[in-house]
Amino acid sequence: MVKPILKQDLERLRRQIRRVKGGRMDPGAAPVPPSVENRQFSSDSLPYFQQEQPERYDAEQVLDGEVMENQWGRYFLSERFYPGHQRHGDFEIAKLAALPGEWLGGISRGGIPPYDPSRWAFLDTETTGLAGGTGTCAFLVGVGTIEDGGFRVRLFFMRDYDEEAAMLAALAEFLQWRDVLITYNGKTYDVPLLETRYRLARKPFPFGRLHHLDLLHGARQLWKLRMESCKLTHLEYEVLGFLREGDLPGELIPYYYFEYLRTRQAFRLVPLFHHNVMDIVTLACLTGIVLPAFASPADADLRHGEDMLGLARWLRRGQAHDDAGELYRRAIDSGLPDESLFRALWEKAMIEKRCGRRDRMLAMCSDLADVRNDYRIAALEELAKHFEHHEKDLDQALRCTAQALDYKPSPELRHRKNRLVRKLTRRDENQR
Amino acid sequence: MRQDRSLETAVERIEDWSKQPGSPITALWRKPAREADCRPLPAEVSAPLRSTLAARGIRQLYSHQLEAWEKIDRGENVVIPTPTASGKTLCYNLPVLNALSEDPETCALYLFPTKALSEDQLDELQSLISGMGSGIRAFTYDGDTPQDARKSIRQRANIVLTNPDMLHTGVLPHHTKWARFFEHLRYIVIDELHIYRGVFGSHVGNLFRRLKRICDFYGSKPLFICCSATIANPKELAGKLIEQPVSEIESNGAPQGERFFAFYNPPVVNRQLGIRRSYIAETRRLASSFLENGQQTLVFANSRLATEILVRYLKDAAERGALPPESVRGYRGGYLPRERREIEKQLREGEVRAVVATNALELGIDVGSLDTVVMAGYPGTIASTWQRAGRAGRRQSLSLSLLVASSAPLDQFIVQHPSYFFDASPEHAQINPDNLEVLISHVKCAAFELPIQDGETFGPHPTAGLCEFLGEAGLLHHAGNSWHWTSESYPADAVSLRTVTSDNFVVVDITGEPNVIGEVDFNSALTTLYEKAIYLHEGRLFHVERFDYKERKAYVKNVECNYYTDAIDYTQVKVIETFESEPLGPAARSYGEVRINRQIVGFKKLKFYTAENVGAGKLSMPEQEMHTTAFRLTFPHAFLQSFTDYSSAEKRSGLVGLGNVLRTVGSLLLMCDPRDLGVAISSGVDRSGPESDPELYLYDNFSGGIGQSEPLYRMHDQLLRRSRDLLVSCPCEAGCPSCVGPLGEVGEKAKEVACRFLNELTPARNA
Repeated sequence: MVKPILKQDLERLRRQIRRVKGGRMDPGAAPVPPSVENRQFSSDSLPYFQQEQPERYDAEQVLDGEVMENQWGRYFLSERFYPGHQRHGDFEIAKLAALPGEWLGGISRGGIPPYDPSRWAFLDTETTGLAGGTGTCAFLVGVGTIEDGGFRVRLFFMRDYDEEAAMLAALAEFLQWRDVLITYNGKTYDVPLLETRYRLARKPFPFGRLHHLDLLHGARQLWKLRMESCKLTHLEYEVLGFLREGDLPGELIPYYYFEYLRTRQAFRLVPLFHHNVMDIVTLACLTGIVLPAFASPADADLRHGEDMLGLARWLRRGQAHDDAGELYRRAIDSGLPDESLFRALWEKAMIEKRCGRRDRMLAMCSDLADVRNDYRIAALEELAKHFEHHEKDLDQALRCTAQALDYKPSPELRHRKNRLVRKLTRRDENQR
Repeated sequence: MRQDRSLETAVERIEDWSKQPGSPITALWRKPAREADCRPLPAEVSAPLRSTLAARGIRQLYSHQLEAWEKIDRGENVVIPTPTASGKTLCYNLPVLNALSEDPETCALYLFPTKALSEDQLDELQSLISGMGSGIRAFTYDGDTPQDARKSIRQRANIVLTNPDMLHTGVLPHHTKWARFFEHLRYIVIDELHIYRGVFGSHVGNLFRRLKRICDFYGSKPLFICCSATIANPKELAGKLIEQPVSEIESNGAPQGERFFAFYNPPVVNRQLGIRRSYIAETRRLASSFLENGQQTLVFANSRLATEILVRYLKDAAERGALPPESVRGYRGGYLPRERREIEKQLREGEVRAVVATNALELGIDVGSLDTVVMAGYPGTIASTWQRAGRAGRRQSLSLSLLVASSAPLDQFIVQHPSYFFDASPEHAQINPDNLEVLISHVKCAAFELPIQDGETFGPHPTAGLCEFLGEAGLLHHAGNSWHWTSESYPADAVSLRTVTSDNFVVVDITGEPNVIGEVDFNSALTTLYEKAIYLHEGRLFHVERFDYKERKAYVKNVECNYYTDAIDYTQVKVIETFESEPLGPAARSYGEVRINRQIVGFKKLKFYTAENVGAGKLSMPEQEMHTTAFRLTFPHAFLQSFTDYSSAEKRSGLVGLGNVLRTVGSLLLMCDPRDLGVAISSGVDRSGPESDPELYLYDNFSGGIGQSEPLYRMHDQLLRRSRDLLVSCPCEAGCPSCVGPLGEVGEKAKEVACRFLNELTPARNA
């Protein structure tokens, strides 16, 4: 026995909302009805209630691009071309086409085969929110590709929700001809989101066969020690020397799209399209800087000690000890802030130990043991181990251990000390 | 052994006591032990499952387990109404595990109302699974699940144990990540079904509408297996929640030890004012004596406040006796999961001797077998009372439950009419999934999950009008042939399943460094967090220094004082629309839509232990407006004027008193908390003129209403007769808190006038 919906109930709610919005009920002074609905209605989140329909400007009238059609329907495609001679900040677009496919192997530790740059696709999405979940939609997907004469960005755009299926199908078809996907934070954000969209549209997911390089990870390796942020626009300015003017703050993007949907005034999309194109061009140029550094660290054109250190640490994790050692040396030589310097010294010492160069390891650990730093205890412990096992100098080993214990007591150190003391007593007894 | 004998002695003592004249024991009920009714395991049960069950001593099924198996096997949705400890989990684990041993891709979703329950059930399930030596993977998935484990659970789980809140915010809005699970979903188990009533149930009904929508999308059509405590209408409730046909399992073959249940009414200390000894103090006294005799005791209190007070009292008592204060623990919703696990464990191991709990422990968490249960105050419903009593003595042994009545009218009615409780069927659980606000919230969530197609229905509702409405608000957008979610927000986050509004206040302790100590929902905040209120948290007292309505914050400071506070409110009702009305003797009854304006205008300070009024204060809190439904009685002026021997003030107080009685009995009939019903009297008792006949309203105390008014309208006869019974049998002279309200508040003639009114409205039975 359901009360038939609810026409009059909805009408009542409408009246209530109008009254709240009309200002006759002052939400601050008193009665905001304590409901979710009314709270939302009384705030700014529902600004559209009862407004007139403004004049319409369709996308195809005001934006570069054309309406495309496939078996799923229509969508909008816009293209931008950057000729090779053009520069993006300090970076010359022509350099992109010259990137050797083999370089992909460096940063991916051999995970990505050497595909020619013409097979790469740089991808970035603009979405209706950051909340995630099935209700967040990628309404604009930009894909950049390297061509002989320069760099081309294609913007796949849905002019409305009913164009999503056609847009996704067109994107999938385009990606068929590419082998490598390059994104910025795409492993966490863009790709899972698109996966959801393809699933909702009941379409096969085109990313499965692509090799995915998420440049964010490499960029963090390289620049995290030096940069306060590894946001794309920050690196764009710091690394490429390009200053974006009048850019749209990311959090306003959904709002711009919704405004466009409501008003049909496509000129509202201009800054949005521009934002996406810029992100993709920057992504490509940063790729042109990050890839060679990882592909051939020895000749990497790095000007900052911290960048070298970042790369050295990446090499060390990949067991490339010789290359790493060399880069640590360059980083230390080029001058580092204290914290990074001590870290570099310690990690280099460990590489030396691994490669059997004990004298170098000893020298560095002795340096670290002399001054106050985060690695002092560990260095003393290394020295103690060395004296005990290699030089058989138990007194010296005990001295190092005792010194470390002085700085920061721990059960392990105490255990080591006791063992050394026992050993010494036994030796003294034997000698007696 | 020692415990058993001392429990027997205690029962004997109570038996003797009950025979004395004027005994506070108003009823002693005994249920003899019952034998099990066992049937052979069905032949279809797979060999590994059979041997696992055998290893745990299960070679046969109880009759109700077999009935459930057969119906589920025929593809029927079932609801299994069973008391505590009757083997209900096997009713669902058996078909699910058997399906899994036939098809390892099968998936099942288990829903429990709380995280603690999922945890508990997982343990039981795991031990069955590991016995089977199969690759079945069962996991809990809730707010406590670590982020890094979630992906693998989504990809691998066969059985997911979760709660409605997590399904609502964490699973459905991300259903594409659960595609495999939904594609293979064959069973949905809903345990503790009776919890899903009132507001919570109304939300959960809508949640299931969303769940079924998602299952449709993935092409699965799961069966629902519901388990419920004893309520009057399990089948109806299950049917309303899942909106599919359901069969009810009617047999119960589980064995039961001998049980005693006694009602205790604290003696009257002031007959004129109808004041009885404090039920809290009496609870403490009785619980302490059980404690001293070595019986592990579970004390239930009905509010957070009472829980905290009793923990304090019992710890004091334990300390005075030989027991360490740690042997008495509190257990309620606000405690951290780890704390709760620890308490449950200590209770099972016997380290903790007494636990004071709110209804958090009412549900089937396995705390082992307890000897005695003491309820401080009537839990509000027959079903819930039996559920709590069921925590004493599980299958074999003797057990005792004791209900200590407070002076609340409902409590007094129950202890003075034990047959009402022991003979009557338990209550009906009501839900209203069609509450407009609740419905709209879930339509938003549904649109977020999948675009809403033109012509689609949501439950029984066509969606067009709702979507247009949300479209006007800019939340949905129509394109092609469907409505799409066009907001960057995540709607499930804004909807709490446990209340109509999700608005809440945070409590900030500013005794030292500011520190958030709790969250309080909007309505409770207005009545507990006003400035100068005493707020109780973890047994500690806080004085509210500042109440920031706009920022939804209350700033409190830790204090030591000997009183607590109680809010006073003022309510106005305006009738918007009448749905139905009928004459009722000289008066009229009707129900329909109303607008309620309510304001907290002051508070009282009441002393601990005696509840003596030691002061009051004025408040000017923001007025609250709410649209809801109300049952109402209209009293024509002519009718009122015929009572020439009363002044209009006396007539008014008679109506106020009548309202209080009706609320008590109404909540009894509706299986709701008395606080879920509001009472108000229109002005105009003393005025004349046809347009302002005085009215009495019993309104649904939730914005939009949760379906409580229409049943009251239909049950008016029972409502009025039971109210008269309550008034007539109340031993007070002229009104007390147990019937029309305390003398000081309603006036001297209230009881008399209310009785006269009721006599006119309900012709005497034998006349």
